[in-house]
Amino acid sequence: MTVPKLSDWILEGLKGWASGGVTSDSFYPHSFINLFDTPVTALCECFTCLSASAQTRFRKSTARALHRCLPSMPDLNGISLNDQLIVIYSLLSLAEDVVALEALSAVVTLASGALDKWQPDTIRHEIYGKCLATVGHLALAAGESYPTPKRYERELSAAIYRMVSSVFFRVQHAPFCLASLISVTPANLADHLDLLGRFINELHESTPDQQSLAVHTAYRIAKHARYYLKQHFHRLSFRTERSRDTWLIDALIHPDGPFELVRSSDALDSPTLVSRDPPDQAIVLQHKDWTGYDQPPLSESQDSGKTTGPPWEQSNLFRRPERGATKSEHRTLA
Amino acid sequence: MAKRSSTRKNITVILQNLSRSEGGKILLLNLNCCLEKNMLVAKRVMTALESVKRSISASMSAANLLGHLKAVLQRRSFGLHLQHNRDDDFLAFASTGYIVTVMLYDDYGRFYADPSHSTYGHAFAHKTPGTKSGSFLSTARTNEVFWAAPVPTFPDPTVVTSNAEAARDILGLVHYGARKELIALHFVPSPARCYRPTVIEAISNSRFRQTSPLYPAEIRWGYTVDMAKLEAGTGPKDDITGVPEFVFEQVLLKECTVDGFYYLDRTLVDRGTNELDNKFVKHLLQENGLTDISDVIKSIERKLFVI
Repeated sequence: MTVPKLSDWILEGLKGWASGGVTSDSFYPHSFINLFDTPVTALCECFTCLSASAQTRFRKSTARALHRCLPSMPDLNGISLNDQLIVIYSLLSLAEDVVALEALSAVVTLASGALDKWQPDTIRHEIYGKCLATVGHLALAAGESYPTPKRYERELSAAIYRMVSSVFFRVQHAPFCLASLISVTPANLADHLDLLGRFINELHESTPDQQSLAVHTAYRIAKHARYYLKQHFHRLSFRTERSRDTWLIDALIHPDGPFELVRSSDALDSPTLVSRDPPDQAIVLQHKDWTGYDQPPLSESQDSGKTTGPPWEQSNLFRRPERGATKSEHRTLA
Repeated sequence: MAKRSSTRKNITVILQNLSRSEGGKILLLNLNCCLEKNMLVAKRVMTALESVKRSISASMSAANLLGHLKAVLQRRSFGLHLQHNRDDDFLAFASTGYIVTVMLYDDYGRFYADPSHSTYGHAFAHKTPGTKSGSFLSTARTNEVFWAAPVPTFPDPTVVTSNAEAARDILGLVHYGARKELIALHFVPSPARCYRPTVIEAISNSRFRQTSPLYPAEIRWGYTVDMAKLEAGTGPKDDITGVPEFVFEQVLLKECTVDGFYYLDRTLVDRGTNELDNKFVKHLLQENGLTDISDVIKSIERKLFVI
């Protein structure tokens, strides 16, 4: 089947399924589809059985079908708005499952310029969320296993950057966006942190249970951008507790994080991050801000005369205010 | 006369095609039971099967034939699908709590889950069995026809909040094989449009039983087949009855009283093996008082053609 015919089949079939009462069901002759709970599940199952060239056609067809769902196209006219959304969500899900990178531009258009069609704002938030999830998961899939052409790497990054600039972007989306960006373009780690680090820091400070989220992010960075982390370390901002990337340093050497901080006596200004898993992979850090990291708080060093415990417990920089601490207390700790 | 003879021949071909697979045998046994209890109008069944014959080929696989039958026989125009309305019995069915329907985790993500669940944080949400989510998409709606059971009727109601394997087994969801992530939706559909299930709604589910020998006179709702009991049982006389079940027409979730979606974890084993299919066929044959699938075909033909 050619790409236009296949996209017709997918779109018409999904329309028929979503709206129920359509007289001609294009999925009907393919009886196996009726055995699944939803046609999307059936299509995904079907996709896994296709040859490589047929899979490529299927991806392109999914993208084409999604393009035809943009408000500027007439293909969804005639079914209710609710059913239109069901078709769009089905296609987004299909694009995500079959890693249809060709659908990127349609997804981004849906999430930005095309949102005016829907009311109220809660629906727009939903559509934006669905689109962001699709773009993000495409990026994660591309980074994990899919051999991604360079062109798509750039497009995926650009798509996420564009979605971050949307009015519907929320600070809670930031870690997901960062994880997606790191998966697809780890070399641009510093730029990604420039874009999203402050949001994650904000989230980290306002919600104590975000600690584990930051550690997850640190693991992802250590996995996908270990080399670039070392290269870009001088561009990280972690001079004070409220600095943009302090959360990242905190998470990297947290007891549950991917690295341990090791400092030999003859290289005080260049401590080493040693990987916990796999062990013995080291990153030597040269950054003037590290000088004060393992200095104990003044009061403690006066009291005991020696340091105890790991650096993140000793350092003022890693000491977070207790929940409910006043702003002045927070500043004092910083 | 010639037309009648050709109709009879066509229908016999379909029945014999069905008898070649275990899934088809189970369908035939339930169809026989359904006709026996006058839950389907024989003339309508004939018309629908005649229509199926026109569009099937001899080389069609068992799965395709079942899918085809499902698509055709469930058309409202044949007057077979969703014929036993039991709205009046709904309160008795669900008076003491929520009802539960189970879906694949993937389908939950596609059609129900609030997108913030996958985009807030990392999309690496902690999947702990029993985790509950109360939010859902504004467009969220059930399948066109969905199956549900009342939560309080489960011997241990916690299985439908945190145990995929046990929930899948008790509900007889044989199409969910091994290592499937499942989600349970607990809710009360309003307004309830519920029906006593028949073989027509259950085509393709090879663990459906039209009547339970424990409750042969129950016409308000059906009973699931407990797949764990079926596997553990030693013979066709064992009790394999699960919990009561209804089928419902599609509802929008925002119009329902929703308790929430529960993450049930993954199933462990596949209960849809040929061996178990065969065991279930023996159960149904014994319950129908028949010994062989050819007797079932003859019995169906008698009911269809005598009129």
